[in-house]
Amino acid sequence: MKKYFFKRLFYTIVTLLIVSVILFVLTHCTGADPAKLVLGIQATPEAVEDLREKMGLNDSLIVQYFRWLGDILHGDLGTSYMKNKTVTELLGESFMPTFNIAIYAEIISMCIGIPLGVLAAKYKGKSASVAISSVALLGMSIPGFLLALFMMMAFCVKLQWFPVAGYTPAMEGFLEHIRSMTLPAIALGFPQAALITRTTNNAMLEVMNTEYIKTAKAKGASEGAILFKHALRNALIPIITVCLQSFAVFFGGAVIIEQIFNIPGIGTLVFSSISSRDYYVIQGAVLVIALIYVVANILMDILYGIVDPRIRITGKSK
Amino acid sequence: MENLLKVKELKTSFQTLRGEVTAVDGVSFEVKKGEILGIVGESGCGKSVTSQSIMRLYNEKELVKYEGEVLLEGNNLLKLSEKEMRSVRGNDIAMIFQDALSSLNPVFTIGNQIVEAIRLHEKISKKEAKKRAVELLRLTGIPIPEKRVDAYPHELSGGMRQRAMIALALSCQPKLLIADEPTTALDVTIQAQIMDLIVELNQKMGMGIMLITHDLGVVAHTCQRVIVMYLGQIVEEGMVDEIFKNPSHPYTKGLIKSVPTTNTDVSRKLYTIKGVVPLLSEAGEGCRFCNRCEMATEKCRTSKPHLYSMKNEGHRVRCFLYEKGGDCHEAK
Amino acid sequence: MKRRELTKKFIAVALTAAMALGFTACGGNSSTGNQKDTSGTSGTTKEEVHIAYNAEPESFDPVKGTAVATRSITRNVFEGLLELDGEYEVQCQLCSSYEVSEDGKIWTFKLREGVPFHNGDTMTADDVVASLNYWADFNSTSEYFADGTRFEKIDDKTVSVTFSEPKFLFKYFLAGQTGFAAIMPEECIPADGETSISEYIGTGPYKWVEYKPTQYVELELFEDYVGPDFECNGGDAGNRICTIPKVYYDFVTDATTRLSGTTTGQYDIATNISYDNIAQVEADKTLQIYQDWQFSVFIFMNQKLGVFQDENLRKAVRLAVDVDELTASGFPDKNYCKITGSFDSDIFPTWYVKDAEAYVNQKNTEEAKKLVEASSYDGSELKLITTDAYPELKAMTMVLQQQLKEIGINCKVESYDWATTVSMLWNFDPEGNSNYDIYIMSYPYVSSPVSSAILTNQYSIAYADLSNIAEPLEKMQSTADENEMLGYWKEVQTTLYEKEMLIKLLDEACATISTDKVQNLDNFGGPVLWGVTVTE
Repeated sequence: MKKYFFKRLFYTIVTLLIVSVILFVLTHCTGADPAKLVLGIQATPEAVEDLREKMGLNDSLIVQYFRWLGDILHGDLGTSYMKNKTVTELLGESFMPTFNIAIYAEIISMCIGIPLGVLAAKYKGKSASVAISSVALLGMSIPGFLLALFMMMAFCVKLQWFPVAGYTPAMEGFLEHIRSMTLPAIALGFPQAALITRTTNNAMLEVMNTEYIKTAKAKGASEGAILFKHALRNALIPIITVCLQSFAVFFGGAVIIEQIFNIPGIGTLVFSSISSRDYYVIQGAVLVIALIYVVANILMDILYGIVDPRIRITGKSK
Repeated sequence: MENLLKVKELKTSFQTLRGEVTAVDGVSFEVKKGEILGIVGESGCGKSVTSQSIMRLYNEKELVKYEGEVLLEGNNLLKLSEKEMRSVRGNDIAMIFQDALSSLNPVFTIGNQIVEAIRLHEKISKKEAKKRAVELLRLTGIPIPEKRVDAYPHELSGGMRQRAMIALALSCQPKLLIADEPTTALDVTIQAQIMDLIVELNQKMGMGIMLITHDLGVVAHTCQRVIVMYLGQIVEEGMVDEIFKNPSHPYTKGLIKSVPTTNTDVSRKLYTIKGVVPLLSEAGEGCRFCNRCEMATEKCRTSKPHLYSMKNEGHRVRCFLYEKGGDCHEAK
Repeated sequence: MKRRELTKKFIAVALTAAMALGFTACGGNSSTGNQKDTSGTSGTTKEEVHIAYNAEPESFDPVKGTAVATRSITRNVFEGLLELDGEYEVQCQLCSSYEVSEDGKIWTFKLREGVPFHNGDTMTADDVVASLNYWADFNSTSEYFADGTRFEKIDDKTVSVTFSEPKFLFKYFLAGQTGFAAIMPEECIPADGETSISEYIGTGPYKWVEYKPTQYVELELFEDYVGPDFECNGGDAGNRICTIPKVYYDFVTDATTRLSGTTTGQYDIATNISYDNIAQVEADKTLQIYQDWQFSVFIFMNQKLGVFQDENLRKAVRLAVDVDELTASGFPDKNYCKITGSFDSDIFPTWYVKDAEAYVNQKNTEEAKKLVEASSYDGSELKLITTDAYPELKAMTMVLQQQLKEIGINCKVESYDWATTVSMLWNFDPEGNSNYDIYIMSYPYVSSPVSSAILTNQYSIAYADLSNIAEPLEKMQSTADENEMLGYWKEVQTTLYEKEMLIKLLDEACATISTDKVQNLDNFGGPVLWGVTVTE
């Protein structure tokens, strides 16, 4: 078990390092000058040069990269040019809102997707299954932001059930918090729910054709037990994969939804920092998102092992 | 011996893309209490469909239609509600399948699966059920069953798995055991062990057994009676000794001839029945075997033969050659 | 079997169609937002007012935060010695009077007495000097403070500053909007020049309560506010009487969200609504809309590298350009642009030069074509740069391309995001290839043209030769006589066109909206809260 853990840790670090290099090169090669952006369009060349020196932008890329890397190892992710705050502070502030949306979106997409997928498999070929598949296709085809705008029109402006925008942290009133998170979570979660429905459906159909399902029926098991105990658990591997990947996607991809609903999360942070070429913030935020993906993958592996004993790392020896 | 299972004119039809296909076409037979009945035939002859029809394992809402009667100790299983049928499955009739690796749920321990089988039909605690599971494993010859009960299917060898599946099938002491090709996926030595086990259990527990196989050797060693099926119909049935001594139906003769023995001339090609098994949907007007039969006549092509009784008790053949009954003429 | 198949297909199509229809029904305009009562005069003042603001400034230090957003929000909290009124004229706010010496070098300010800070202290000359020098330090590269000139206390009621050269126009700089000379208690000024202020304590009508990053700024009414004894007339100068107890500036980056939120009443005021939504807003009886004049828009041509070094070619552009056609594409609603050739439009009564109008919008394509043909321009493709960040500028750029084509100038439009555009246009590499030949750009208002970067920073004017106007600009500072000063200004303005240094096209207003419960709202570089009433 230890060996596995260290091996995983090693690969995680290597992955993050590679990501950091690519990230660094990409952000620094956009051709724009952050110093000019900070000072604005009335800047004199002397002022800009001065700031570039201060920012260390005149050193070679390699020097700048290792300086950044060195700082990270000391826990310093750098400072934002635009906002005069440390990247760590900014990430800390924006992490929670995005994390909240991602969790709620995940819950929504799983609670809709998995049961619907199971039902679609159960009623395969019947009207119910067709209906579910149509809705799933629609869900996957609608871009999240479009859904967000529709919902805003319907539920915020016309019906006034939800606030148009803004984020209330859980601390400040749980009900308000849920109200402000509902629509963004649905906008994010619904398209993914569709994906989960289809994945669950396909996985279940595959499983339903296996021999052991026949055995289960031959034992006298009820339909419900066959579906939800015997079949679902075997279908879980692709379902887990798509659910955890969804979570990582929510985390990294919530930018537009956050913009529309004015949620001060990581997506908004990345967006604004890219517009203003705020290098350290971009790098720090993207690195965090990469980390989430990596963690999601590790979690996937662990869950696979729990769900399917054939994939366990520490198996009983044969 | 009384009849445990009596199948009367069972017809099983499936809805397929090509229309309705009748996989089992008017099959009738009995299994007596404590008897081992062998059902033999090539792939696609309908033997598995017969056994799964008895258990009503197919999707009745869309896929399958049953006709005829399946009487278990006098009760017609085909007329039971799904709920009633569930209490029959695993309880009165149990089934074991060909490949234990794919027939056992890979994510649950075998103990878990046996416990579930027990608790589906009896109200006992998990602990009690687990104890029974251990005993069942011991009964089927698995060493150190206390440890093995927590093993996953993939952690056992092929032979062990099959024993585990047998243990699973026996968990509620069924009256009838249907064994669908139980040894096909095993190597020869293990095959013999498993068959011995099955025979032993039959004697110990007085269970009726339907043994479905394509292996005539196994049938010869273990069964009392045998049915030969072809394209959804029974073409010959009778006591094992009689069938092997006097195979009557051309198909049966062909089957027996196809098995190489120690006396077979190794310099010559092995005997095969000419032609291939046609599709069910292509079955013509007459005898279903006629286009592969060396002795087919015009009558065979146009009319359907019934099962005609032979001199020996219980020996019946579906062939016009024996229409008048009596001994088997080899009109060669 | 067939029938079942058909039924299933029908269900699939029906469901999809129903959902699609449902979505389109939800869209469409919300002029039926009449859940709220539209009486508007129910009387009770609203406790909390929310302003959906389009930009979050990086700093709320009034001196160091150079964004318009900083000033717009912090002027509720701070006041300066001098402030601009609604006509962009300079008035006394925290001083009771001021005078300038005959030679224009010494400015003396008499302070008002009994002006309270939010922390209970009274404003003293020490506070004023410290605040003003903090501001001066930050503007140490300007023509006023580059040589180390700073403010000094004369006595408890008087402060002054002595320049080495005549600076008769200094009052505009002091009252100006980029870099706010806010007066704060001495203790609040950071000792070193590096850090920004950490506490926001001023003399203004609102107290600073809280800043929640990415979310909002919260302000609270300062009950003991004492203002100067004249009324406000739509600008920053005057007695800033406010009635709203609490104000939130909510940072909402998405324009649609700002609009939707105001429709539902979640926000009372919202800034920078997209021009495309103006018609919809005007149709909605529960909303009001205002123009907030903020920008001047020019065409700049690269006069250091490329074909536009030829003065005649630049003249051709100026003669040909049809500003009416440009604005038709950039501004769906004519009320939001003011076509003018004067560097400052008539919104600035002092700086408006009527004669400049004749230079632009001549639509003289004949003459222009002749100039192009006569020049050495070989028809090669020129780079016309624009940015997605400002859709109205981009729309005008596309039309400009057509207009130039008609007179024989071929341009390729290149559009970039804001960051890249800044890098390309403010390219400080004199040896390098030109990144651009021509572009349209908007600049925020400044209080007086001498403070405009365009006229002082060659990089902001596409390398036009500033020596052409350097002298009259300087002379503007050197005379006390306003007429003489304006004479020099007119000379600058004329030279700008005679030497084809730039082309002024129009002034641009942002659209701000409010609910119908908001009365007396002025907009002066952002919503002005004094005099505003908001009812429930």
